Amino acid sequence: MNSWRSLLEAPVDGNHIVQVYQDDDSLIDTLSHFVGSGLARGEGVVVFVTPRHWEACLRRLGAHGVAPHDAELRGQLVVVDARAALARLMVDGTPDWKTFQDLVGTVINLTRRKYPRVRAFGEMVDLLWQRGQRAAALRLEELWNHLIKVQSLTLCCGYRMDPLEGDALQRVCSVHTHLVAAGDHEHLEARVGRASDEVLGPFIARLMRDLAAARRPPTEMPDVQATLLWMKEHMPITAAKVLSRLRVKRSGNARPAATGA
Amino acid sequence: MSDHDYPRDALRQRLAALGIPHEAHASGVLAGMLPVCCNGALPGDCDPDALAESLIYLIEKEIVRAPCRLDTLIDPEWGAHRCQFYRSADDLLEFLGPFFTRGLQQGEYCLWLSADEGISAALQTALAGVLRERPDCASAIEFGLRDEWYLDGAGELRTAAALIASWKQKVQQALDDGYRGLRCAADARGIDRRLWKDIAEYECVVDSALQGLNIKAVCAYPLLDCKPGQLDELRGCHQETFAKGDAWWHRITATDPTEAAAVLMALQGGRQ
Repeated sequence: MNSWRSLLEAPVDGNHIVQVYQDDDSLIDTLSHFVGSGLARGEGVVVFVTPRHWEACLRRLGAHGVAPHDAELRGQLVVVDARAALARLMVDGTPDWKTFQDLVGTVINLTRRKYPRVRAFGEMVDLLWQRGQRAAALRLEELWNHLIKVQSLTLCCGYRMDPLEGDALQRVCSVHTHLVAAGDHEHLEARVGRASDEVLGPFIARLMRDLAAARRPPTEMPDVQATLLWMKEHMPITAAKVLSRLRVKRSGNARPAATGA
Repeated sequence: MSDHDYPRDALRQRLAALGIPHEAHASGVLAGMLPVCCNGALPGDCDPDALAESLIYLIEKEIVRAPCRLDTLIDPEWGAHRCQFYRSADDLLEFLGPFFTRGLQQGEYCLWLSADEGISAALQTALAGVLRERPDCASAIEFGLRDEWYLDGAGELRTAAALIASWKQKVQQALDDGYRGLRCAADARGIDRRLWKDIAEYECVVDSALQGLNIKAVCAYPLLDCKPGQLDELRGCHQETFAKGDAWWHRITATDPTEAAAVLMALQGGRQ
């Protein structure tokens, strides 16, 4: 858990982090930590965010003694309405590189004039994802990745999705360098361990988890997420049975266990 | 057995295509085919689909070959240099008895280099049947002491060149005496830890040096005494590595060190 907070606190240029969450509280926690850390470190911060999430973030930042309005006034923090920005970016149902560069690239460049290190947070991809425009969302991620290559930049995105949803998660991971799943990793890891032990028996389950660790995906992520993705890819029937047990147990739990890390 | 004890048809077809016969698809049998050692305590209620997918993954990714019976392992080709990881003296004898019996039956000169005389005595008992049937074979098997073969007077490992020369001389002697070649096995149990690096280097050199000779060599290493790095090092300097699980024999073919170590550690057993 601490390593993921450290990542959000001090990411390096080129990091393209995705947070997967199921409840707004997790997103606000990540967003406020990412923004607050950037401001504290003297970095420029650009957020493409929905007003509702930003208001919640402001409350969280205020509770921690951070004054975002002052940062906005001095040009260190730029807040852009994600919905309005997205509407401008879309051309014929897909994000357009030139418009993206004109809008997003320009905002980041202007911020960089006073603050050489810039970090950005984007919710536009999730807006597309929630509308079912998944190809467009991934295209927008590619545009961000291109921008990250041509400018020094750190980016964090948030997706509202079940971290146990293997196929979709795999697609999202393929365009990010790091995955941060909200919630309690150790708890999820223990539950995945128990569920796979039940399906395969402890000795065989241990072997298969060790083999999964040998073929981790290129995206940095918690071990438990890497194991689940590996299982979905290589042992899909087993994965479905393990996930089914997790979901049954989750539905019987007061705690939203699979919101992970 | 009910249908619930078998994997779904699509998985059974894939198992069959990988050499796992239909009669071995019951979940209890499949569990025993996976390269793990559960100390005889295989859980009886494992999901058959999950067991099938695990086995298919291991074989398709060439981490292991399809599990086999001992018969498959006891008659390697000439030039073979194999590594047996064994968990107990019983495991070792289970292999050595048939291995040397087959050699004697085929007119090969057999050499067993033991770590101590206890295993040799048990092996002599195991070979009593074939020696009764073919008394002429009594002079075709030699029981030696490992340290006398491998170590010099100062207790250091002889050089690889010297050891290879000895092997070549032994093969030639067997051929001169009318045998088809040399079949040998040596037990590495209890080797002096400080010799480990030299032994690993020797194993790598000898692996290529034996090719083309009429020799079939098996190096037996105690699985439970080896650390993960050593397991992989030994696997890498033998043409084939095998070990017995709870019921079947497993040939480890993984080229990725982490995967090979994962399988060998699973075969060590007792880890959860």
